[in-house]
Amino acid sequence: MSETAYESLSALMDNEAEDLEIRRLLRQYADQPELQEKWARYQLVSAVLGGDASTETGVNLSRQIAQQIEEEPCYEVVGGRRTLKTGRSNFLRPMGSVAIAASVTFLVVFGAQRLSVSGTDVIPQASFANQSELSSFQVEQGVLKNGGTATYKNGYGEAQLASTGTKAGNLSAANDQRAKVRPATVKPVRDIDLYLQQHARNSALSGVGGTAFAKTAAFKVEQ
Amino acid sequence: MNDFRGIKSAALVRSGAYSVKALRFILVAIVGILPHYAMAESHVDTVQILERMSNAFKNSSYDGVFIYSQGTDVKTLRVIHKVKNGVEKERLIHLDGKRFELIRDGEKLSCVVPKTSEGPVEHKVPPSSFAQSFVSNVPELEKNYHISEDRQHRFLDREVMQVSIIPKTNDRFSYQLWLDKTSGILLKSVLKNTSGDELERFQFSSLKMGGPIPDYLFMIENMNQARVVNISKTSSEKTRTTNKGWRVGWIPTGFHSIMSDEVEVAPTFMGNLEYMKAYSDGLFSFSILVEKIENFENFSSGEHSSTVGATTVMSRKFTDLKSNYSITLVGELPVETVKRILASVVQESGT
Amino acid sequence: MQHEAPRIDADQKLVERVQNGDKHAFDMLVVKYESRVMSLVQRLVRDHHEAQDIAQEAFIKAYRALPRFRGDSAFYTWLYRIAVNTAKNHLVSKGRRPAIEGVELEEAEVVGIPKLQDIDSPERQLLRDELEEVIYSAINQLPDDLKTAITLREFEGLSYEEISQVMDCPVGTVRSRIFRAREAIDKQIRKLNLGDKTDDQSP
Repeated sequence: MSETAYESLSALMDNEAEDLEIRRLLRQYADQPELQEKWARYQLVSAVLGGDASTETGVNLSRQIAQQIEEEPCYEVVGGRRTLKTGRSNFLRPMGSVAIAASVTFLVVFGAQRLSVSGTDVIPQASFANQSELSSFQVEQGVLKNGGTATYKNGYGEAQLASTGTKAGNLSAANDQRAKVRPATVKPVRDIDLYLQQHARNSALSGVGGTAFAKTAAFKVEQ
Repeated sequence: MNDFRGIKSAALVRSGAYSVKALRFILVAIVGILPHYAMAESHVDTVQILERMSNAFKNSSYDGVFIYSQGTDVKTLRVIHKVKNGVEKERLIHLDGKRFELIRDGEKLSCVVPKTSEGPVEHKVPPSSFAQSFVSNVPELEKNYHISEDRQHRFLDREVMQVSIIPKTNDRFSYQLWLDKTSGILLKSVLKNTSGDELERFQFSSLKMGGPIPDYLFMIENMNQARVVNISKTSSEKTRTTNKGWRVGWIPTGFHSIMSDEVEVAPTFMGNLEYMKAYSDGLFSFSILVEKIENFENFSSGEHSSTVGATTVMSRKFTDLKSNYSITLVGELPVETVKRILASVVQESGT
Repeated sequence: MQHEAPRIDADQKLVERVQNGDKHAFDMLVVKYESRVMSLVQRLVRDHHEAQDIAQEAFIKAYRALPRFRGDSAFYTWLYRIAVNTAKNHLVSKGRRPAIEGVELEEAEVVGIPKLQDIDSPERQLLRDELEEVIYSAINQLPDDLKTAITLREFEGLSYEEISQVMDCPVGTVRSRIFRAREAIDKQIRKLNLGDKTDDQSP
């Protein structure tokens, strides 16, 4: 069992795992009992520390529930922008793989909408954008307008952290939990070819399979 | 002191099933080990053939036509490579669009462009030769990627070994390689994003190897219509960047700095560049550039990322009380990873 | 206009995975909440087996209703509501009153049920105390950076990003410190099980 999977598990506890990481984890979770046990113990510790550990520590319903769920249909995202908003569509499909394929398409399409095209050789790339990310982008803007002072609260009162400029971008203005703040990205100030070329110089000799060649290909022949 | 006997942990950690689970774990472990033994031999082969790959391009003689695609952009090129008396000769010809060739003869490098073209071409010359573009540091690669041999195939009428290089973390891309079994040369590679979509492809469509590569293949045709520019090695200047005052807070696991403080900086960046760093994990790399920007209006804010094949360029602005900066990341990483790194770049306090 | 970061449900990602067709994600949610749901139900329905059936039914209902879960509330609030309703229906069908006198079910929905010590058998209480002791002593033995990271996370509820600011280190380091802290605690917890076996041999 890899440390990576355990670390992903730990990140997932805190809602800090990346989407693809979670998918990978879930694929492993099904047939790795040690991963399941680890998850259970992590949860137990977290519950104890949170003061709400039930005294029912011997509960183990998951097997029976999993067996029953096995007979239930899988869900699929049908159209729509966000899985959480698709509640109305009660479309059920029996195949998990179909669902995954659909969600990937959805991500690609949605990612494409957000991609600002500049330069010539731009292709859309799957972007795991979601609403919370968009909103937290706005948060950051808000933070900046506040003169770079971000306030966050926790269960033990209020703390103020002052910082300058976009440094505040790393601070969540959420009041108690886990909002991810993304940087306010801007259009590169120069022709992107210049950056590509400089990058190629910086890393002239790294990569197999032609990543380095890709960098040399960045040296455009035509104008 | 804890008295563990008193606990008899039974109900504690869902443990009713623990002894059964422990047994199952042992079984899984034993079963799990078996295929590893079976795989061990082929793994050695894979590692060896990967190590052979970079040498193969440098030390063999070959003449081939290949395509390189990045997204919808596809380039066709011909490469002729020869080693004679220990001297490497290489000719790389762009077969599409305007004429552009690079001819290397040992240390000498010439660039061939149409006679009618004007202006400098130095900046269009890539920093390394084609043959040097396939360097692999397998031990480093193995730290960050699972390298596995998929299955054997025929490609370009050759027996090939198909190798997958899958990252151990999902913050970067993956590769599939098709390597000639006999020579180790890379015949095809496909770079995929984290969802498995193809971003870049390198693929020979014809390749002559082994036979003699005559010298005339390195001679420039239609000289009267060509402008040949000799590129001297000393023409590129190295600049020392201070590389202080900024800190990259987060980089993906396995990446390390690959750049000395003394770097070759394109003239465009001179004067404005405050900080520059490059990192690699043995397969992919990225650079971070911090530039001081006079004019804030040039920034158009919003969500911007420019992507060429697997390479993303993304900038973010930064303002301290005195100046405006643009922090740019360029590298072969997923947009999400780029954003995360970019967000972690901060000005060091006390500077 | 005031911008406020959306409150992100810690279970959001797993919920999304279920909604995208991944049943194992639901299994993870079950493992996460089974003891808490069980404890809740047990307070309403005293009989252990009955409570178990109800908890199980609640999870199945939650699974079926998940496409309609819109994230307006946290997943666990929503799940508890389902559990309470399931228990309520069960009691109504049997013509019985909830086990806890003076506690309205609506109150139960917000998980504000007072802890009734008498439900806990002394052995269970002991187990729980021991568990707490092991966990806290494991935390106390952690190196400072790990201790700070896990404390900020578990007690203060800060995000990795916030912890990285507080501790002045990269987010990746926060993630790894928290992980290492959890592993260190986990190691101690696992010893509890190993303790069982060695105890049989040692005096």
